[in-house]
Amino acid sequence: MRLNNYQVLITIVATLLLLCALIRLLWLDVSLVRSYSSVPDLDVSISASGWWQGYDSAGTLRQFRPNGPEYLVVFVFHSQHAAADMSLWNETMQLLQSRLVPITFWGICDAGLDCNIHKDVASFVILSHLDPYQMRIVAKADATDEILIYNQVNGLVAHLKRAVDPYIMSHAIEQRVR
Amino acid sequence: MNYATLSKIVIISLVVICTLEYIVFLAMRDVGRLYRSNETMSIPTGFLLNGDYLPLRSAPCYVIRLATDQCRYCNMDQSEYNQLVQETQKTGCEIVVSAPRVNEMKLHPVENRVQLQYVDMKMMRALRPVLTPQTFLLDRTARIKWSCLGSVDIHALRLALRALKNINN
Repeated sequence: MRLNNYQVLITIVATLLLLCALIRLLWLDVSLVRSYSSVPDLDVSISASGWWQGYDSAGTLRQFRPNGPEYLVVFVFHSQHAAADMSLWNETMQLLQSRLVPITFWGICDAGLDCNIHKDVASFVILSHLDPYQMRIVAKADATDEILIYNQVNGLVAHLKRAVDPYIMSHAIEQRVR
Repeated sequence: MNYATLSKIVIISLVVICTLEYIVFLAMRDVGRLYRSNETMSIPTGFLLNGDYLPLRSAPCYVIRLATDQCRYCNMDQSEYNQLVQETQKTGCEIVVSAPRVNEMKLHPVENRVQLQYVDMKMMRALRPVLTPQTFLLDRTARIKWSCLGSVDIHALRLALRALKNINN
């Protein structure tokens, strides 16, 4: 099949247009990848400025403002797995009781005031509400199944994978708060 | 291979590559966004700046504004934002203002606007307090119908009012 000049010209123009489209789409893809990689979000390794504070399930404002050395363990208390979480953290607390440097445990309820019914059984403080920034940090840590440990000046000491066994959990915390 | 066959191969290859790139673009466009349209947030509840508890309640829609007193960009769009508030209040929407951190917003008692300070986890699983201002329009089931990161300009306001109209229909 032989092409006339007009067809050759059309073919070249069409090819050039397609090449332009290809380059344009490639550029869009690259800029999307760039914008995706720079989506700002809080990282759990950034310690929040100011004191950890929030409302507990009884509606009392709680603050973590120790006078001396002390650690704060922040974890999410899952209302759907309340029994398992209760047992894990009550036992973990018990295992870490004899430490010289005290540790405060804050369980952040994932369902607001719904954890209220567990407050009498818990050895730790259950908080229902935090300020948006701190709550986002906790929610993000929970999304990767992590717990957070802060020191008395509110610096992030560690974020640890949450364990199912209280012995493993307490050992992991112990390693980080020596 | 003659010129015609070669042209066909080149053009078909380019069309296939462009189509693939376009599919990648469409797929990634949603992934890269901080918030997606119709993403479910949660109906704002929690403790207000004055210490009162804001319980779960029903409204046809909710406007959530994340802002601070010190943020310049939060003051730049007051005209557009107030217009949005006025229009949404006409349809019974609830206006909730919050600051990312405690002490970043003073108590400004304004009728029909609540200043939420302590929030629950459901809300913060979706909301990212990384910049101010952020403004959201949620429907009665807390789905994001419109959002604006940064100051609300006239174009964003127009989109918000269109979204409000869709909520009401």
